[in-house]
Amino acid sequence: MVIFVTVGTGKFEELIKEIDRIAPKLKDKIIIQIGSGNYKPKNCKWFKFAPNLQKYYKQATLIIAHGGPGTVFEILDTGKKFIACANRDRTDPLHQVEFLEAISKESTSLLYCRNISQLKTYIEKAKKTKFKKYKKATCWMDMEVKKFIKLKTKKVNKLNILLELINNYFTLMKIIIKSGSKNIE
Amino acid sequence: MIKQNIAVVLGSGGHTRQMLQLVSKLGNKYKYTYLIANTDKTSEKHIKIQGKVYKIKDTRLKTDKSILKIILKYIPSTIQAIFVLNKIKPKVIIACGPAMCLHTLVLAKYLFGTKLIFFESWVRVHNKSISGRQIAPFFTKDDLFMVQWESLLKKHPYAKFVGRLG
Repeated sequence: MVIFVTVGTGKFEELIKEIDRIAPKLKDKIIIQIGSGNYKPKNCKWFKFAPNLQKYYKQATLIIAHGGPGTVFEILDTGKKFIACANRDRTDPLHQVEFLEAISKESTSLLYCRNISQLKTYIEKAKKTKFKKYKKATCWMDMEVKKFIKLKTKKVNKLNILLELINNYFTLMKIIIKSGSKNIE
Repeated sequence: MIKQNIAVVLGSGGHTRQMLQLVSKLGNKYKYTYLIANTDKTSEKHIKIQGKVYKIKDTRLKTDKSILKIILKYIPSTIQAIFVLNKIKPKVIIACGPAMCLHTLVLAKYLFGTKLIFFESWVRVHNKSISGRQIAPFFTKDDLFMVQWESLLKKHPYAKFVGRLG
């Protein structure tokens, strides 16, 4: 069995270290895309980046990935066995957790591994279970946008607009500076 | 028939991906102009429906958030944005974050009377994004604010739920 691990463009050392640790026990061929992390696996094949990962997805029977939605939707399209782990080492540490919670509740096409130290049991579980094909969510965003573009706008007094511009631009700056000094929680 | 002018603010990474999915769904009916941050090297390659591409100085604040840095980043970027918007004069502008879209949207709305469209990224299930929280006060009845998870409507009551891309 071929296992492919991908962490996107960021770094996710926790996941790579854990896989490197359990690799000798698994007897599978493992390929890891390590992104911008510094840790280099000793027990598996690895590379940093590739312009297109489709080639690796095709080879693999099981894919393990971080919770970036771009990656997640890409892998769901391949229909392969899929385990996702949330990467908390981000500017907004909880958004991947929130996303994976929600998508794994909605669909059974992926396994969400809440605790990376239990990854081995998840891999064994994934080998046994069959994964259903992912049904794309419905989206009528384009209809909504088209409808909106057709609406007519009212004409407004130009001088008024200029005053509003100055006023609003400074409000925006105030908001940005305020949230900047608060920093990200 | 003259094609309507739509300005599209591409973010980076996942933001670009969502935005281009929306653009390809909208199709060839409109004339697109893309605004890209000057630090972003990959987004331009992914564009499928051709359009003019303009680069604007990036204002994304990652770790350093001192007031001086904010001002130094925003002044040149604002001037650039005014020139670019003056060239395009878009009827509608679409954005989904990150930071670079904020002042572009405000300038477009109050300088050129452009209608705004903003949607929250598909990761946002229960909580607002940073750019979503900052831009929301400027949205009036003439603009469109969309979310991709129904649970987010609690935080953005004026928004419209529109299903999910991807």
